[in-house]
Amino acid sequence: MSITTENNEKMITLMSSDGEEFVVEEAVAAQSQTIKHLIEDGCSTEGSIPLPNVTGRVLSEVIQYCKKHSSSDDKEEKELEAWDAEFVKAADDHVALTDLMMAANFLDIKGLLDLVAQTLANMITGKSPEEVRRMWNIKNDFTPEEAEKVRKENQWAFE
Amino acid sequence: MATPRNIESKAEKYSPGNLQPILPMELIINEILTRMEVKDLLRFKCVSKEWKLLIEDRYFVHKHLYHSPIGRFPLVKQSFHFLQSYHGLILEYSWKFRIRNPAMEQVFSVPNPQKASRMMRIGFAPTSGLYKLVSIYDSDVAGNGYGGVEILVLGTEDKPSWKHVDSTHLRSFDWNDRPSGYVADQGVVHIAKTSKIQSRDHEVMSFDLDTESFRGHKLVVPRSVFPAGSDVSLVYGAFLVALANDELHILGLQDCEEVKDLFGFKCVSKELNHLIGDHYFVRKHLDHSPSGTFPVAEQPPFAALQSSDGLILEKHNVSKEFRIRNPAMGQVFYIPNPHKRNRVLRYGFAPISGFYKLICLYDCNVAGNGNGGVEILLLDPPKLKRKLQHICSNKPTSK
Repeated sequence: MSITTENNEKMITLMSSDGEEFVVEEAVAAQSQTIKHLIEDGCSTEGSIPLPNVTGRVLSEVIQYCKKHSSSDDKEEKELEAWDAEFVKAADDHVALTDLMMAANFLDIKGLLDLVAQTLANMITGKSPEEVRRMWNIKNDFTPEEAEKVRKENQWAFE
Repeated sequence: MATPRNIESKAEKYSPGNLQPILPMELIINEILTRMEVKDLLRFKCVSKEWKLLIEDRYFVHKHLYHSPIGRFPLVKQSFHFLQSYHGLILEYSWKFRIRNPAMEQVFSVPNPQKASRMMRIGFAPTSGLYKLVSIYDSDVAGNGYGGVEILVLGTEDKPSWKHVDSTHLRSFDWNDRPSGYVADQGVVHIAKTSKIQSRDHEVMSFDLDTESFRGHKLVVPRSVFPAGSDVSLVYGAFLVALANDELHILGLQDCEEVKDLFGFKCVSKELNHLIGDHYFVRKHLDHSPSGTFPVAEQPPFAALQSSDGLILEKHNVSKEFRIRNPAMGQVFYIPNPHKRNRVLRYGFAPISGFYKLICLYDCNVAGNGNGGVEILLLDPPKLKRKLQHICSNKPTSK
């Protein structure tokens, strides 16, 4: 089932992992290479496209990004950059950004992936290993002796 | 490029009781850490064993260097003189040496070697995983003492310093001619110089960046191979090139072990020389190309022609189709066939424009009609178009 709007824009429905439905223009959704391929393969004709890895909250953010980026051309690059900066700022913390990054990777939206990855990279710049472990729930599997050795080898990076 | 990959299996580890998200390691490495500076990366080796392993991986080092899109770096004022482009790094000189990483927009000021440098090259030592600078120095003005080699290891200390490593192999070199050097794969710097003794023969030696010593024997190329008065340079790891009497002479060296392995072909026409423009141009283009000895491990249908700057140029054995692969980024560019049947196809980095370009040399046809020539292909920055585009194909004017 595909709906067509007045200006003949083809619409498709995306369904999040928690069952929320989003109706968007095909051109907007096709910024995701994953969705684009699904559409090309004819997976959208039977109703909505299920996205089992993306929650409704994250998907609505992703769609916001895609809408903005499908309506802008290169001339507005400055404005778009400012918009991107606001967009990641609104995502607020690394938990939301991590979700967004996993979605961007799954949906294969290069621009969004770059944007979020760069934001996370900026976020952990200057942080200690302990802080990084805490952010992503990484287990410290070094023995105290091993940890001390690695630390010594790279002492200047801690100063 | 980015397919769903392992997301599902990783997502199962996501425990609802824990507020902290788990980010797949692959994403952390591929997308986040490649954007970080070396100092942060070294500190993050302490995060976990997995992080340490991945950060120390050579593959990651390459990815780190090449993360930024090709050609993103804006034009720079060229107050520095270009010396070498290697793995995306540019070695430059203007009273002092510096290394620029255009992709990361970083500059590293190289401390001066203890002895005035006659030739400097940057190279990657694969066993230790370190980048090193090699500087060749001369005996003093009065001719006392011997020339030798100094080494600077990059990235291990905050303020690296030069150390002497060898002063026995260079004593018979004649420093009146400019020495030339080429950094090949497998961490070897080939150095070519003319001999000090009467014959003034050309000599090629190989310096190993890992062991920090010369290896094998030196290869001696009789001076008579090239016309008198020609300026001979080592390019491309395996060729001596001389420009004399408006002709370009190229001598191929199969390997740098012994004289008997030397095979020579004297070429080429005045035509080719005119087309290529000047000696400097040839050096610049050939200089970026190792001799095609990329370890052929997997993909049998494609044969590697060239590997430099983390990219691999390959040719399909059957369809003869060309492609450039970036293993670190998992990208492949298929190259449109040149208009003319190519004899040599190589790519290189044009440091001023910041573009990678392909150069194709073609020959006259079998019957000997027409002229040979050069075609150039610009590799577009991926941001604009993930496609290759022909920008020019110079047809030679008949002479």
